[in-house]
Amino acid sequence: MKSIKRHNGLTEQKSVFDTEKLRGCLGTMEPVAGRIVGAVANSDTEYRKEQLFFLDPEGMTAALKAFVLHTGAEGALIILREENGKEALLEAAEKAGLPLAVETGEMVLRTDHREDLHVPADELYRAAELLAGETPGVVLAVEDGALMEADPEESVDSILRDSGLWEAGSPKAVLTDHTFFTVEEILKMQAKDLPGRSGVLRILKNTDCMVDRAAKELLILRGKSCGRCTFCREGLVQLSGRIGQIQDAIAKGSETDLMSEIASAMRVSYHCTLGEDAPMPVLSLLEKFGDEVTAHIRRKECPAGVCKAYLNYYIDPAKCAGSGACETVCPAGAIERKTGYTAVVDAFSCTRCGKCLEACPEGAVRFISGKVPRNAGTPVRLKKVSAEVSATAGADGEAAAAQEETAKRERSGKRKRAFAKPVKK
Amino acid sequence: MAVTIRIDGKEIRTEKGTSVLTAALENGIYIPHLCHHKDLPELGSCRLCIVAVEGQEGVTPSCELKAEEGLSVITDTPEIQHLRKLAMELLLSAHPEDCSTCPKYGRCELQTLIQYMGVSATRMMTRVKGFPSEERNPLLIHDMNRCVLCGRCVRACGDLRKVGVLQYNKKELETYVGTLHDRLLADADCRFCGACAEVCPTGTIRDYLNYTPVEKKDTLIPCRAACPVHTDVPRYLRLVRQGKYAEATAVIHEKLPFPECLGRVCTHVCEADCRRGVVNEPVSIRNLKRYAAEHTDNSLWISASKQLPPTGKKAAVIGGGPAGMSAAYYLAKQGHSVTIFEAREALGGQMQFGIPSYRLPRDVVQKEAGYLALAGVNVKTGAKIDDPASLLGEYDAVLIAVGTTQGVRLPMPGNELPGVLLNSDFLEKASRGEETGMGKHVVVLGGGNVAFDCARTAVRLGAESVALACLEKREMMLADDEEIEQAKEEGVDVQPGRTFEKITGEERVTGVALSVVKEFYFDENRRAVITKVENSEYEIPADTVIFAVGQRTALPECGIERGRANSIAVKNGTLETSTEGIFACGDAVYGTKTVIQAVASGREAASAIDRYLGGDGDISETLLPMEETDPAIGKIEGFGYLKRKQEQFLAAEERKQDFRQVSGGICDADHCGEAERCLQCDLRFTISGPHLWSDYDSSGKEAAL
Repeated sequence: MKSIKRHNGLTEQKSVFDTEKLRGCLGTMEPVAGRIVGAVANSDTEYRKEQLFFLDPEGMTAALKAFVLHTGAEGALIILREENGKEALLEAAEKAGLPLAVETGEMVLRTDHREDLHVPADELYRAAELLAGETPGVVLAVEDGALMEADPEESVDSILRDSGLWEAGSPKAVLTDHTFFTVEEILKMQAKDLPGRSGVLRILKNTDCMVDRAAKELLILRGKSCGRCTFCREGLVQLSGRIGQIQDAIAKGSETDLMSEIASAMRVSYHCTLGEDAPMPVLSLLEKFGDEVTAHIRRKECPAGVCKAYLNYYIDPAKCAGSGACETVCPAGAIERKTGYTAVVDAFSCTRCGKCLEACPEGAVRFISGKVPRNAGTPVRLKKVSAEVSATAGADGEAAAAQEETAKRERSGKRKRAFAKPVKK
Repeated sequence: MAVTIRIDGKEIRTEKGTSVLTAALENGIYIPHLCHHKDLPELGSCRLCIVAVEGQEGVTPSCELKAEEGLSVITDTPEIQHLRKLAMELLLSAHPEDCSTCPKYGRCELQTLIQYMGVSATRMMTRVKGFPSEERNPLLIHDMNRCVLCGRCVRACGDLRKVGVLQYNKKELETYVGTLHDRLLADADCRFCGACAEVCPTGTIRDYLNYTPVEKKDTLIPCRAACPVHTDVPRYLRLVRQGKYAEATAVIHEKLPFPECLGRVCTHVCEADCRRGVVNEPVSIRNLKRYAAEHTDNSLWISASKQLPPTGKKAAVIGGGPAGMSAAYYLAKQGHSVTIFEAREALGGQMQFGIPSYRLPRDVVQKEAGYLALAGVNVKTGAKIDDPASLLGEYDAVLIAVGTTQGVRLPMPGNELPGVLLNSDFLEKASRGEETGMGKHVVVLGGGNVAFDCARTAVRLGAESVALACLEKREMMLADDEEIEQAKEEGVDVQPGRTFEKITGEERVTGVALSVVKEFYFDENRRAVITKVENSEYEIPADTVIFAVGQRTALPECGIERGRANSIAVKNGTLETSTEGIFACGDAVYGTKTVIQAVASGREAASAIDRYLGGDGDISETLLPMEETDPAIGKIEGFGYLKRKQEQFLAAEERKQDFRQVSGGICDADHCGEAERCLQCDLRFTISGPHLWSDYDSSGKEAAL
């Protein structure tokens, strides 16, 4: 893996823009009436490849000029999210004699650029390398690491290993360009096999839930979608909604068929790369991580322990001292408590907000993915405390009484039970 | 270059580069579509028009597929049906489910697509977008909940009209169509041309007013509809704006013969209904008409003027006012031999002998009366006819257009004293410069325009004091606000809300006794109910009282059935009186109204008489071939806030001395700016209508699913 090269002085080499050389580097291209637009691909929501313009301004400018000359375009336009640092690009363009404009924007909309040709940033960099006589690599980055260039045949496994993030924790999947890849797939892939739009590889571990991550990806896509095309706009809303149902544990099972249908249709009927990649989180989720989806829907569990709806909150009767702090703070009124008894969480009303867990002074509130322990569903009578203490001290008094109770048991040497003695009916 | 393509096996010949969708729609093949519109550049976002290219995998929107020789597409495969149906389901998932309560019901293109494809959104998760309906803008409602994001409005405003007010905005993951920073339309420099509402396939952007398809043109171009003769106002305003005064005058002359007169005195009902008035102030249409007519030598419309060959029929018109003149003019152009019998010494009627010359100069009246000679109308002045039937011997048809020249004298004590004058006599004598019988201190009784004509004429004839009293309170006075203000500036003492008790004096008028009105209204039986303030009677000293409370027809009894208040009774539609061959029109039929009403009535009579004389009754003419309009009207900053240009009036001190023209119309610097304020409500009708499945032959194909 190498860092991104700077092709300084490339624009000044006259032979670079030779017609033959251009045809050799860029191949045959249709003439362009408008401008060449350099920007990241529409489906790229990481925007890391914008750095190419700042890391190699002269190379990118030379590439733009090459495309302009080769297609007969009237000039070039670079679209970036922020304009800071555009001076270097404009300077390089001037040196190269290239009419260049730099604008802020997030996407290249076809309808705003009917006569233009959108060339993705990495394709420009690749062209720069070809013009300089180098062998182009694959531009990518691992997590938040620096943008690098890999050999096309380098294995993805070794690229990930180099980052030092691959073995820490147990990787479950790799997410890149909104698509999930299993570890087995990754081990067989080379850099050139990657989708290559944003170039950013993200590692998912056992503590990451695939359903949850897919939902997040859909939201990111919805954030960038321009909203003009039916399938991208409404399709993302439908997929988002259905995934949300799975996250909230209200899915009935038929959703995955519908999601598959919509996602497949989106893959066929799109207007730009964003629309093309928009269904990928769902398609790759259903295709490669179907087990995890089934676990959510059929077994009502989130294996990674992330989806809150699958986490069941309960109160450990052994620890509960009857302070009532949980009951007070619960926004859904899902905690039942009678004076003198331990509190119990009503799983039906519980919204899994977690406020009770923070509020409990005893740390008696816990959650588990899957079924709660059997005894946590019934209130348990609290040990008697002196009338005086209970009347005046209130919650503190009850906590103190419970502590004393525990201390007493410990002193007596009796084994502390994990749970309170089951109450005989 | 023409190429041959195949759509569903059918051979279609079309221009190379035309989209397959356009080629299909224009050659009898329906492909469902939503974002496509004939007048707009393609978008390809709705994904409904997809087709499959034979021999290729996948689908392409047919609006983006360009025709080239040998291209063969199929519009209906199971895959296409599925994708189309899914696209519709997705669109409907975000669309309100209440077709029946939507104002666009029955005219909605989305509805026709639902009919054609038979889908609903039951499989999808439906949502309500939750936008409040934007109703703070004039003329247009934006209800973004119904929007299907077809983008037609954005393209119509930006690409077609080159104004660019509408754009795609996004708030909290929801894309919608709106203005920059969600400004109100006027603040975003909207031209209110209505193109957006015209192309919107759903009920998202729509006009405030509801209308049936039949009413649409009249509702949306109210100036033309309200005008009694339906002058094509938007068209001539456009020509004025372009500096084409000869052409504008020609357009006006297609409907009325006296633009310079009407440009000064017309009551401009067009301006009252002008949609620009809903935005801020109505366009100064009357002044622009005057400006156009004053800046041409009239040769253009004269050379195009219609003249049918002689029919051999003869028609007589009794009365040379605007009604009689209009009828005679159009009858003569239909080829009949027409003679006007005018009792007075000149043509013009109330324009010449009623409306004072400071409002309507005499030379203007005579100039436009001269157009009748161009049509070959014979005029006999000083020819009073009291028995219309007597003309039936020599003429095949007779038209009574004698107007209402007999002033009404109210029944009240002292109404016959020397010094009491009638409006009609007073104005007629003043127009000739004859002695009117006016003294030094004048009281005019009445609150209409004629009363003010009398009052302001009295000022100019040298009266030392002029007062005007009427029954109505100030807000209900029938006279134009302008008249009332200008009269006050000239020193007329306007006293509204007064009842007339009596005219005082023994040998002659010494004053008028009036009481202050407390309440004045008409009860259920249409009787006037007047209550007076206690002990409020007072007297205005005067030596002249002018009754200006109405006029009646002066025609004596002559064997023709009469209507209310001595008017002539006519049959609806044919304007024929009780005697065959005798017709009547104008004020003589319906009471004192306006000049433009008289022109409309005269035209109606000409048409009726032409039919009676064997013609087809079609008096319409084209004086200017219809021109192409440029749809790209462009953006004008602050368009919605441009103020109405004011008419130029002489200062009161200067103008009240004599009968010089008071109004200078609209000045040279202002006329283009004023004509530019017009919303061009007629332009949206140049936009093509939609292609619906029901317009096409089914050719045995069942609708998908």
